[in-house]
Amino acid sequence: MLGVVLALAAFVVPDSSVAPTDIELVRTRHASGVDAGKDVVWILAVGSDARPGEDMRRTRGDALQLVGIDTRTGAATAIGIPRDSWVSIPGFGSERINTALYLGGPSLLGEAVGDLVGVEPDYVLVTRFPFFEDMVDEIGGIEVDNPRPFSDANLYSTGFAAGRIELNGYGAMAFSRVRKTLPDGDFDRSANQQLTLRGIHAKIRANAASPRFMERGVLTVAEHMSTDLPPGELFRLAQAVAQVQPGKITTCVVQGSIGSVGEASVVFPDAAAARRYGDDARDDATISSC
Amino acid sequence: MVVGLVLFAGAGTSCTADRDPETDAGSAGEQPTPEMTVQATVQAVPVEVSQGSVTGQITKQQRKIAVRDVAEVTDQWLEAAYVGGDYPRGGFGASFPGFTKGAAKTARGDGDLMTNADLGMHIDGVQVEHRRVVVDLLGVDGTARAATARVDLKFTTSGFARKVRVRGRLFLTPAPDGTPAGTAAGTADGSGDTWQVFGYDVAKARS
Repeated sequence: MLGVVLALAAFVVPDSSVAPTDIELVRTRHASGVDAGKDVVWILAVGSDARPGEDMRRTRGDALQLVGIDTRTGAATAIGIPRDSWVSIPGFGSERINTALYLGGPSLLGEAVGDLVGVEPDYVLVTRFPFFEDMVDEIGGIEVDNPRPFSDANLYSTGFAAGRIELNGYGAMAFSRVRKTLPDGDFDRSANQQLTLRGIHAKIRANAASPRFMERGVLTVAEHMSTDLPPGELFRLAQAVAQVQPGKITTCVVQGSIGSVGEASVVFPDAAAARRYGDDARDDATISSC
Repeated sequence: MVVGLVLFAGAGTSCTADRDPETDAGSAGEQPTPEMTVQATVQAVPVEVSQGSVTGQITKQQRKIAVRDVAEVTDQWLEAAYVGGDYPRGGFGASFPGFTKGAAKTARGDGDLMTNADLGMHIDGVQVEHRRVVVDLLGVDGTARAATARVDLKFTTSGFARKVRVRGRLFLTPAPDGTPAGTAAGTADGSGDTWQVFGYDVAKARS
């Protein structure tokens, strides 16, 4: 490299004794870091199925992703939990895990997920789908790497092509919600939600240095999400998200078997695997293998 | 809007609960003296401070105060980490006044970049070419709740001649404990918040 620079210098400045050059070899290095209060921050991201007029904190969680961020290394992980997972909900006995939001709000849902995975979330962020669409539109849409083509007659009849695709807010919502036409139903849907999260993260990271981008995002989240977090703390979390390095993201979906309890179709989650993911990622937000 | 403040390093360095103890240790109970102020002023090129983007609602008065206070905390880092102090030296542990404990710890790990540690033992002085801070604000209900300080510092060193440029962003929020105004850097008139640096994204280039 040095040789190339010197050769170029000799070429463009044929007589350096006459004119001193401005050419110099500059070494640039970059560093970043965010103090989010803990080395590893855990956030339970919840997509509520609340209909207009319903309190989204007291409905059912349709999308459940436990996200960990290691602010020291820029690693992050997402553990997807099928919404129909049949688990013990503190104080209410066995129920589908998404019922916890209806029964006791975000904190009870956080407890139920914490009991399953073994990692209690530091924050529970709940949004509803129209607001989620607005947030994705606000950042200018996202791109995802779709592993398979699929469609849904009700939600997205034109279908999603395989490969790298662009999604606007509505498309991202549909991509994250379609279940029936996917080969592994709820499990594939959870994996698609993780692809959506990757797309959102990539967009945030690419624009984080642009004036207003992070600030507008924080205001939008504050407006569209159910959270008691003050704006300053949301800003901290947002900056922690922006520092996550794409190459250090790992994702897994808690698998399980389909069954029924009474007339209800449920998922019996692989609790041992859920614990293993939690144990693996607790201290460094990294899962070595699903 | 270029405010063009001249900021004095070492002025008002009181502690808050979340402040970095290593940095604060050196100044605990120490009052700024005229000598310290004069010394810093002579060495420093006045920092150019300007307001950048404002997102959300912040009153004009609050904008002015927040920009001033954020810029002062930011410039204290530039002073402690690169511009001020005696050279040659190898100690840069106290380079992060105004950083949270966690941010200071991480920044120390990036010491060659976040300070002059890579050059400190080989140089005998620093001459600033320019020193700029642009402050972006996030406001809610009329008050600044978060800030991004965009930094651009360019200097040359003597003794071991190098050109150095430090550019990037510091992320700040008001201290979570609601430290009373007037107790920390940049709040001499008692009307501002104590701002803390909780994160950074900085590049350093040197010849």
